[in-house]
Amino acid sequence: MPNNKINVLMLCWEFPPWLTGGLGPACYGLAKALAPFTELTVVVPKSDPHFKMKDVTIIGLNQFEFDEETEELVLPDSKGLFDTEIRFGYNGEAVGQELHDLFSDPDSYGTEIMKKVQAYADVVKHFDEFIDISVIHAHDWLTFPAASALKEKTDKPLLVHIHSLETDRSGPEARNAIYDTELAAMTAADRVLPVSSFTRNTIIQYYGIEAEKICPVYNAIESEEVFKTERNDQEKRVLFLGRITRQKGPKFLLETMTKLCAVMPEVKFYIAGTGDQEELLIEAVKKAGLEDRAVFTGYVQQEEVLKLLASCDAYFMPSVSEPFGLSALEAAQFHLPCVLSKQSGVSEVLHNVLKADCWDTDKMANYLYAVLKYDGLRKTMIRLTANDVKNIHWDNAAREVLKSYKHVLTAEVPELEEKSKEL
Amino acid sequence: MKRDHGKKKNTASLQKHASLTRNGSGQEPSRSNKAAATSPVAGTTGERAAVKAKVRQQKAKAQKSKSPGTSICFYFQVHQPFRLRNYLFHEIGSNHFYENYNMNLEILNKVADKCYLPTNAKILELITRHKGNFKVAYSISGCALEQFELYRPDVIRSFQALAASGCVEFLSETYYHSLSFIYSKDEFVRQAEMHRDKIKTLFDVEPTVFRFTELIFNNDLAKQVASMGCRAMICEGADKWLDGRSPNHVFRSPGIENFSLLLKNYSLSDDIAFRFSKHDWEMWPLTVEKFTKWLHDHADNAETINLFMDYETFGEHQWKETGIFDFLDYLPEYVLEHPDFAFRTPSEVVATYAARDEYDVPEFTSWADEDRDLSAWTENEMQKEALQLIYSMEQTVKESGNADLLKVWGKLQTSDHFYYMSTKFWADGDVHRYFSPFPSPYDACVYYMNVLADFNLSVKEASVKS
Repeated sequence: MPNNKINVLMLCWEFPPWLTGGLGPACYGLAKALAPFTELTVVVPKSDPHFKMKDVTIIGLNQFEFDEETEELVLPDSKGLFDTEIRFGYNGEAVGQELHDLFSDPDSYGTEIMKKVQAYADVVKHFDEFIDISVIHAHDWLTFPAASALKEKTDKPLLVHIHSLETDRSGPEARNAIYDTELAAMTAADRVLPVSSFTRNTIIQYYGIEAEKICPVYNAIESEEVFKTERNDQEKRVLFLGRITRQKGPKFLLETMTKLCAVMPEVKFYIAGTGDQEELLIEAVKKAGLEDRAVFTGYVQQEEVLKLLASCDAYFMPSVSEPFGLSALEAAQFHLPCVLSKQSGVSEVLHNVLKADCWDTDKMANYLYAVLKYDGLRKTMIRLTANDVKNIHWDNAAREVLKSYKHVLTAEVPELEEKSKEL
Repeated sequence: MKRDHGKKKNTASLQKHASLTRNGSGQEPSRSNKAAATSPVAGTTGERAAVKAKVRQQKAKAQKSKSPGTSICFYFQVHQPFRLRNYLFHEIGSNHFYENYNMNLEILNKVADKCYLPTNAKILELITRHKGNFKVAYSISGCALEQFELYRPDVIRSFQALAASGCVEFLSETYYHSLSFIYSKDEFVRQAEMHRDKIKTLFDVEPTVFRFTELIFNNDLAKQVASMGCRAMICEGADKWLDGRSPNHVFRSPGIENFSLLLKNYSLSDDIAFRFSKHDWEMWPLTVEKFTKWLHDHADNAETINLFMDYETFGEHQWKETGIFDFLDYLPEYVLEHPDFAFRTPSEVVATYAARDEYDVPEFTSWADEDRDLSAWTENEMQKEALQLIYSMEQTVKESGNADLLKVWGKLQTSDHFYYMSTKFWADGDVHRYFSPFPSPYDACVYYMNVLADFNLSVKEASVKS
């Protein structure tokens, strides 16, 4: 290994090719941008050996085998990740087939999530035994027990990346095991990297972490082949894209829908995603007599997401608390005028969108009405949003992260700018 | 809030020097010398020649003292738009009240108390103190006059007192402070006449000098205004079309007889209007002595120095605490210390000096921003759509014969609505350079378009009825 690069052990929960929300694409985009300037190892619960990234070692815990006899975990050299077989003593709770199943579950969350998180930590805390680590970079609470354990064991600098908090998901009053995990990791961390200033404020307000060590790193987006599906109907399509959970504001979605549909007979809401409030929302829509004005697509694969983006007329995100909101960037990239909740991080980087407080559904409905009705408004928003999107790169995010690595280390970091010139 | 948006707050403090150099190098054949050289003198002997020379000198001196010297021409713009409220989409078709009554009232009260009343009082006092040797001109939009009548008749009375002094000129403009000339000549003429009538009614004078919204100007507009019986027009002294010449003379527009142009000296005007309290300006603080010296430095080469600005400069853009009122208080006295300087109103200036040169402006110019063009009102798609829509209603509105609709239509033409939609200083999210009653240009557009949608319904309804 060339020794001028930092050895980064990056702990992720979601990663391609398996994606459920914004976390996976964000980790991937950042890893890709960091790869040329670091020795990067990404650890995920589940990896697909066919999915490879240049200059990145991806280790899926599902690739490990449990040696019943010696009670060791083994990563056979047949996996092609290391030249030799990796083998270490393991004393975690889950063993054998159970351990393997936890990491291979198609649903990376599910009811056994706490078990999965614990197993991930039990395995990952041995990684210093066969990998050089300069910094530990952990994404979201699912990897924090692992990160904290490694930090305690090795005393290596820890950076925790905050994509979403328990206070976003369950409400500001949430004080539970997950909250405690987040609090402990952020307290122990040398740097906290939230995805927006909005989340930085949340961390200060609800977790009491000292402001000086919190440095926002805005998410970005991979450039996508943008296409448009022309439709010949008179329908005006509003797209809601995201999990249908309290955090995403289904209540306000319904209120806005009701208000807009009362005035605009041609409007239809495309609601893409699943979540614990999906059934509730479907029922409520029925009750409001709007079932023919809403299309519930259920969970959609990325390919379908792109098709939706290409065929809708406006994007709507009424989130109650959205640390970033990557899908808004996707919508912006697909030239959709965006109506966003002010309680979101993405609204800090998209300046040419319409923003209102999530609960101000009069205003939200009014904005949607306007972007669907007024061509000039839509055109100006789209034209100037395209400029905003042009300036949002993972390289910028990587530059900020490298600065933080540099800060927590004495090691020399090759400047991204210089490297970029060489490339 | 309209006039506090600092839209023209360019930071071109260096323009001052450019202006001085430019003016300094301008060729200024002296009128008095010319008069002296042609004055007939008799006699042939050497003695008589000496006497002749003396007489010539005296005559020249006498001539010189009769020469009009340099004029300082102040024109102040007074305008307040009828700002719109957050008119929501579900009101379309049912609520026809569009204005933000509270905000309009609040702003009018604030500006009346901070600017209009105290400045009017000061100007009147200066006129009295200087026995009629201090003069200024105002252009007051119909929207402003209407709001004064509605909310603050005391402001109207104070302007009437100024009118009675005989030292104040009122200019002609479009009643609704609109962009009408660009979109409809008929509407332009209608609004100019409306405004002229309003001024006549309130101040018992007939304006003869015209100025268009935000000093928008081009050759065609000059032709139009001349055809309406005005003798002169006020415009920006734009570098692009002055092409190195000084703005400090009376100009003519190509092909128009007996019609003069007065060009704003933007450098000296903006020293007061924008830079007066700018602490990072290298000339700060702007003392009366300093400013007067800059004016007097032009004594040999300027006929008129046109200081045109928003009236809200006094007390509103530049707060009382900056010393702007003291500056105004002392300025006439200092300026008049120079025997060749006099304050004149625009119509006096054009009566005093013949046009010296041609100001040929084929494209639209204005006094807004550093670009000095129309882009602040007409650049983006929102503005284009809104303008297209409001002017597309002209025929229907006029044919409806409904006076109320005609009034509302006029108010909706006020240029401020389109200015608020400008994304020139917004696109990069720099909120600090965006001044408007709305939080964003998009909000300005959304509410304007909602209002227009409702108004369009009313117009159609009226049209069916008629």
